[in-house]
Formats: sequence, structure tokens, C-alpha cells
Amino acid sequence: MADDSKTESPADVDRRVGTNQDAPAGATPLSPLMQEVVDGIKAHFPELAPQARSDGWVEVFVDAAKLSEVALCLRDRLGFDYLSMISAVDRKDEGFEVVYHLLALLANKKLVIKVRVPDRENPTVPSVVGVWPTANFHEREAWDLMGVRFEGHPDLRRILMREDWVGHPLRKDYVDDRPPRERVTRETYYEAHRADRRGK
Amino acid sequence: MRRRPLVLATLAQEVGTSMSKTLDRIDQSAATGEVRTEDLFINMGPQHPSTHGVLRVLATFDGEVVKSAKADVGYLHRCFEKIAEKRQLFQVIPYTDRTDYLSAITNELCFVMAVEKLIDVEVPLRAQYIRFIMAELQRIASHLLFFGTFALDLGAVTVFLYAWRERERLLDIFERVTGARMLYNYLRIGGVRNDVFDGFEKAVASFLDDLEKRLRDYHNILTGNRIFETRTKGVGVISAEDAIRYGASGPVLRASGVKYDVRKNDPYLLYDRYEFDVPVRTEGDCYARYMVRMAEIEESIKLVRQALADMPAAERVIGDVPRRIKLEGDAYARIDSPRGEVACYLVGDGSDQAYRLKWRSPCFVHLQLLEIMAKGQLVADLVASIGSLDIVMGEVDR
Repeated sequence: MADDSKTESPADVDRRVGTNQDAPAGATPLSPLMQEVVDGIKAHFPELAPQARSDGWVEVFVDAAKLSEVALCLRDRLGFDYLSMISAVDRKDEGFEVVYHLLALLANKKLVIKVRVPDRENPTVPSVVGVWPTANFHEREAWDLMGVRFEGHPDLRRILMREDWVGHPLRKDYVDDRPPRERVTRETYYEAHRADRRGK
Repeated sequence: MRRRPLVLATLAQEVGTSMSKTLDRIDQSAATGEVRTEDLFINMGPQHPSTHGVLRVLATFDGEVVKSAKADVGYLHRCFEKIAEKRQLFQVIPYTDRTDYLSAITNELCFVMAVEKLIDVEVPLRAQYIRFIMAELQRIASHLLFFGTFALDLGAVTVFLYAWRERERLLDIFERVTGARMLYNYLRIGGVRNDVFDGFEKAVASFLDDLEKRLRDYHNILTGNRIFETRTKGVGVISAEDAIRYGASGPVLRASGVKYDVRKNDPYLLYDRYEFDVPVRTEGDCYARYMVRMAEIEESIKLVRQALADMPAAERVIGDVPRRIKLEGDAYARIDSPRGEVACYLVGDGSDQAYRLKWRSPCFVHLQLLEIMAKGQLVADLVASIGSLDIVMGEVDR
């Protein structure tokens, strides 16, 4: 699954996922709902390789370039009308991974889309705000904390950190180079206070 | 000190000139027969009693009608996700308490469930029952608080005190079980920290009996009140399509006519064993959200009663957690907290700490709805709309 792929390049992952596709479901039989999701995706995008996970989710890796097309199709044709969350994961040397958790609410289907962005300098993913408006805040948060740029987002600003913050704190290589704050003790407090009074 | 009068004088002068300018303008427009109007920009918050914490709303008004309202968040950001990467797993649990501090148990539950999906541990049945009962009691406490503060937002102070009285009894029970009133640090990976006290069942049952009687009083005092109905009915309407498109969850989603509850549709814990209804209303306004939450209290009472009836006898309350934990792969745990769908995406890299933890907080998502709710309504209704979303800023900003 995704965890052992950390040491592989995205191309390797595609190949591995592709080989697993030949033996669908592995040891555990797929539930009809999951089978439906897998079949639906394969029918529309034969080049994608959806995989069933043991926890009831279907997982699929998508190229950043194709994301907009896939997202629109998922919403309109396959009924994935609800975006639960967007998370960005820093994979160090392999760049970033943007993870979309999707639900078809009333049909009870669950799907994870993972998009790998190898470019560490300027990671860019197309925005899905046009498809699921709820993505707005999620994408702003991912930009703010992880520095993943979402192309086509209507208002890509920082959301949790201050506007003038430098860097993206959730990156693994983020260094906070501000000097540590001095601890205020009784002595330093009175010292500062006395100096203040002398100044006046 | 010496400069102050001077400053004041300049200020007065400036105000005077601008005043006279405005008066001139009014005279002019009166003379030409046209009246010029201007949009008014108001910055509501971050320090404002009606915003339930440090929420800032940037609102533009045309007279008394809202033209646009945007939420600005982040004033309470505490780097929860970054901290979670740097701590041992059991050290993260107290931090999850502090995201949504009004329903701490459900947050702990979500995090603990995510971890338990990645490691192999069996939770003893009694621990599951304790988790279940505590989570549902927490829902009652949280909805009682909503009931009180929502009425307070609309100017009904009496109700607030009644709600507080019930919640206080519940907090006493929590305190006897966990040692704390709001931030419990009670759940553990593989179980709970300690068993409940002797006579827990009795205390809870008698509380539920009283609450059931008093719920009727609450409906009498507030629900049928004409002022309350005028202030909430048809206010802040969210359509079912918008609710789904904007990712609403929990009572907000169900008040818009979508019958979706994680407890029913994707059951966790013991929710598939017990009977309960999912209250739904179709209006999508503040009144509907209020009624859904009140109905949920009744459903929670039902659930807790059923669980108390067949709670297993005392046994151990924590499973065999491996001494060395290795988190591999990723897991997504989601639950239905009183405010909506809380979810935790946990990624491991083979060590005993989280490689990445992402927290979905329903309030963060719900704040996007403010824009479509507020458009075209009055200033006072804006306050009602925010109140009806039941925002907890600790969870929004994490």
C-alpha cells in the first residue's frame, strides 16, 4: 500500500499498482459497493488503477495534470458529491502528496485520490474549488501550512498563519530561525522594570 | 502628557472638517435631488461576544442588509498538527481535547480510532461501552451548551441558566469518572484510562430521567416562543445542494434535509448494535438546526439507556497494546461529533510517532457557509446564523 511506496518514485508506484490490478481484491473479497467504484473508475479512465483498501476505502493515484478532468467526472458521472477533506503530506525527497477523501454521501461510497507532486521547489496542483466549493478553505490551509500551490484557486491566501509569515511550517525541512524568546524570571522582570523607571 | 490636549484639538478639528464636508455633501445632494448612498464595511470581531470566540467576520452592509460576510480565522492557531508530529502518540491525546474543547471525548475517540486502525490491538468490550456512553453524554452536554448560548445570542438569558444547570450535573459525572470537567485526557490507545466509579449507572440513569422531564420544559420555554420563532424561522437558510457542495456535516447537514449520519451510514464503536433515529428537517434554517439538535439530545438519551442496560460487568478496560508501536501506512478515522464529522488522517512512516496528522474540523468547513447564509439578511440575523452553526473556534484554528 501507500506506506511502502515512500522509498519508490511515483513511476514505480504506478507500475506496482498496475501489477496489483491483475489480481484484484487480493485475499479479501470486495464489497459490492467497492466493486462498483472500482469498475466505474476503470470504465471512464482505463489508465487509472483503483485499489481496494482493507478499511473500506478505494484508493487511486492520479496525475496532477489529469486531476481536474477526473474530479469532474467523479462528481458528475460517479456521484462523488461530497469532499470530506484535502490533506497535504510532505514525502521529503519524493515531493508532496495531496490526498482527497471523497464520499458519495447517500450511496455510501468512499474514495481516496492521491496526487503525487515530485516538484519540491514549486509544487502545483490544479484547484478543485470549481468542482467542490468546500475545497476553498482546505486548499488555502494546504497552501498556508505546506506550501502546495493550487492553480485556479479564486483566493489563495494564508488562512491560519499571519499574512506576513515566511515559510510553510508543516514542511519537514521547515526551520524556525527566530531567536528563542527569553524566559521571564523574577530577576529579569524586575531588572527590566528598574531600567524602565531609570529611563524616565 | 503635555501633548495630549494638542492631539485632541487636532482630532476635533479633523472630525469637524469631515463633519462639515459630509453636511455639505448632504446639502448638495438634497439640492440636486439625488441621494447618494454608500456601502458600510463593518469588522465584526475578533473580540465580540456573539462570535463564540475569536472569529472575525468582514461584513459589508447596505443599510441594515448584509451584502457580503466573510469569515477570517486563524487567531487561535496553536500548530496542533505540527505538535502531533513531534510527540509520542499518548502525548497527542490531551491536544486533541483542546481542539474542540466542548466535546473533548469525541475528539479523543477519533484520534484513538485512527491509531487503532494502524496497530493491532483489541479494545475490551467494557472499554467500548464506556467510550460509547461517554461520547453520547458528551453530545448531550455539547447540545445543552448550544441550547443555552444560542438563546443567549437571541437575547433570552433565562434559558442559558437552565441549560447550565443540567450541563453542570453532567460535568460532575465526567469529573467523577475522569478527574476533569472539560479536558479529560481519558481515552487511551486500546481502551480507556480507568474504569468508571461504583454507582455510575445509577448516577447517569437518574440524570437522564431528570433531563427527559426538563426537556419538555425547555421546549415550552423556548421552542414555542413567538419571538424566538420569528428570529429563527426562515433565517440563514442553507439548501440541501449547498450543504453537500460546501461540505456541511452533522446537524447542519441534517437540518437541510440530508439524512446522513456517520453513526448510521458508516457505523463505528457500537452504533450498529443499538436503535436510534437520525432526526432530519427540511427547512435548512436556524430553527431547523435548533430542532435537530434538540431531537438529538433525545436520541442520545435513548442510546445511553440501551447501552447502560447491557454494559458488561467489570473487567479490564485497556487491551494489550504492543510495547513497541510501529505506525505503517495511513488511516482515516471519522466520527460524528456533536458539531459534525470529525475526521483524522494519520500517516505513519514505521516509527512510533505520527509522520503526519491531519484533522478535519467541521466548524472550519461550516464557516464557508456563512457567505451564502448571510447574504441578504439583517445584521441581527447574522448573529443568529453564526450561533446556529455552533462554532467552536478552538476547533476551527487548531
